[in-house]
Amino acid sequence: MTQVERGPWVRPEQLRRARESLGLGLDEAARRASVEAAELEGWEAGLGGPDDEQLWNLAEAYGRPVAYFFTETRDVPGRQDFRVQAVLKRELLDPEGQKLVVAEFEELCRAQSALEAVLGRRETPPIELIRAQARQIGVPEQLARFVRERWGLGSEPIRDLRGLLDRSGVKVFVVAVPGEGLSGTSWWHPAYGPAMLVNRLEIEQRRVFSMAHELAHLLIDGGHVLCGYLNLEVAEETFANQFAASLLMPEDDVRRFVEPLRESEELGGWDTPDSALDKVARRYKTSREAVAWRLEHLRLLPQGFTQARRREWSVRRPARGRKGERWRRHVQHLGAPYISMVQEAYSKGLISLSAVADMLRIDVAQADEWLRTREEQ
Amino acid sequence: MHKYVLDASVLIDLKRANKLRRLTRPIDQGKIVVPSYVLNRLRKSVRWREWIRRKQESVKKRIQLPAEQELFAELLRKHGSRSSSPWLADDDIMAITIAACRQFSLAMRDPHAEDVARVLGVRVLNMDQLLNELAGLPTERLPV
Repeated sequence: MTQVERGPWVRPEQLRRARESLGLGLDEAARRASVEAAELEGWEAGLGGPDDEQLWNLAEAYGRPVAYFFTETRDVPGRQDFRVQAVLKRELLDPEGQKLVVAEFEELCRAQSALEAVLGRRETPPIELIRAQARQIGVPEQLARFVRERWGLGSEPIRDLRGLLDRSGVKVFVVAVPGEGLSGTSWWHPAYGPAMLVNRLEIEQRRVFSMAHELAHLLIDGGHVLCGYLNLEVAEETFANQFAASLLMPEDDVRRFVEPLRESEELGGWDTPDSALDKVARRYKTSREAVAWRLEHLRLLPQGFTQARRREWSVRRPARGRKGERWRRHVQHLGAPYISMVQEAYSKGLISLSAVADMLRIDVAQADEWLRTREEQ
Repeated sequence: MHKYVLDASVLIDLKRANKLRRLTRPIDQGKIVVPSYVLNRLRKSVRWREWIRRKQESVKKRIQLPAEQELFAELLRKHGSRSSSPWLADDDIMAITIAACRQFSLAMRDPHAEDVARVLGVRVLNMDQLLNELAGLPTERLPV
């Protein structure tokens, strides 16, 4: 058999785009994909091209499907800002792993937009109308009141923030992010619309807070920031945290709820026990730390209380579940709107079994099992 | 000798039906090929690693001919993008490409991918038809 003299069958700019989206240099990218750096440089310049195995290795190294190198995609909106790293302890981070997750986030956004298009579900996201007015509101507390009003929430705790975001047309993906310190990110993409990624490895209460936090970024600056839980001293982050706290724990309701706790002197002083904070946290489905922060802000706890106590509160991780079933949980976290669209597209013959596996980020045997279970249900 | 390209979906069906062993002889005879991307994909599942380790040398098929390279790229552009319909994954496309360029039969269970293959003149079989043919039993008329 004649060996093929390979021409530039891939799009050189896509090879470069995939590498640059991870912030990788040629040497590092080549090492990961087990190819020569000089060869990779040539392919990116349109000289020759990788063979099928090298293509697969590149796709794996970049967290993209092979087809990514053959079709034109749009750039991610703006540079992803990794400033969170400057204020976090270095050893907590896994920046390369986190960049791969951002690539995964982009692939999920792309997949959902494509599914919306083929299933005829593409429409202006309702959040767009809120955003148009939200930009003029510069005070987090007021912005939270405005959003609650538009969502018709009154002053009651929010029972299902993710559901509200889904119905508002925000794509929400809850995905495991390696390392620690990254809670979420978001962007308002010109092609995919508003979307947010939330770290699955954080406890549910913290994830809810992250969703509210990312909503502030989407409404005010269009996202683009990788947000960590500890970077409180950055102005936009403080704004987003204040917005999230006000959205999840509206002032009137909080004051009403903690009144009996204050009267019984269970809550209010430096000696406030964790159990009192937990009672409030349960009501608003948020973390003890977020509650303490909010109560301090409303002057229901002494100033500096949260800072003094947070070291005692260890970072909890969500339960991991049985090993064999983890992938099911992973799929579940991709969100009901997304996974039902994947199933619908498959049953209508619009995507293949392996495409289902790609879209759900699981292996093909698991995809087959998942489809069977869904059909039985 | 007529050869068969097997897609991930049919391999999964064979394993579920405990019929993977029926491929042993045809594999030894060189009648079965599995695209390298299908093997790469299945290897991600622990349940498949051992089978792949034992069989990949005999079954693995890559894109090697210029015509294959050309068709593979064309199909990836046409059906590999998320906005294309049907949207096929890279391993489906590799299986169709090999079957089309080498006139092999294609065993798969994926109506969408099957349609694309048939347009290219590929003969498509399901698991039962494949096993019948390999056992030398008469096969019902197959759509081409």
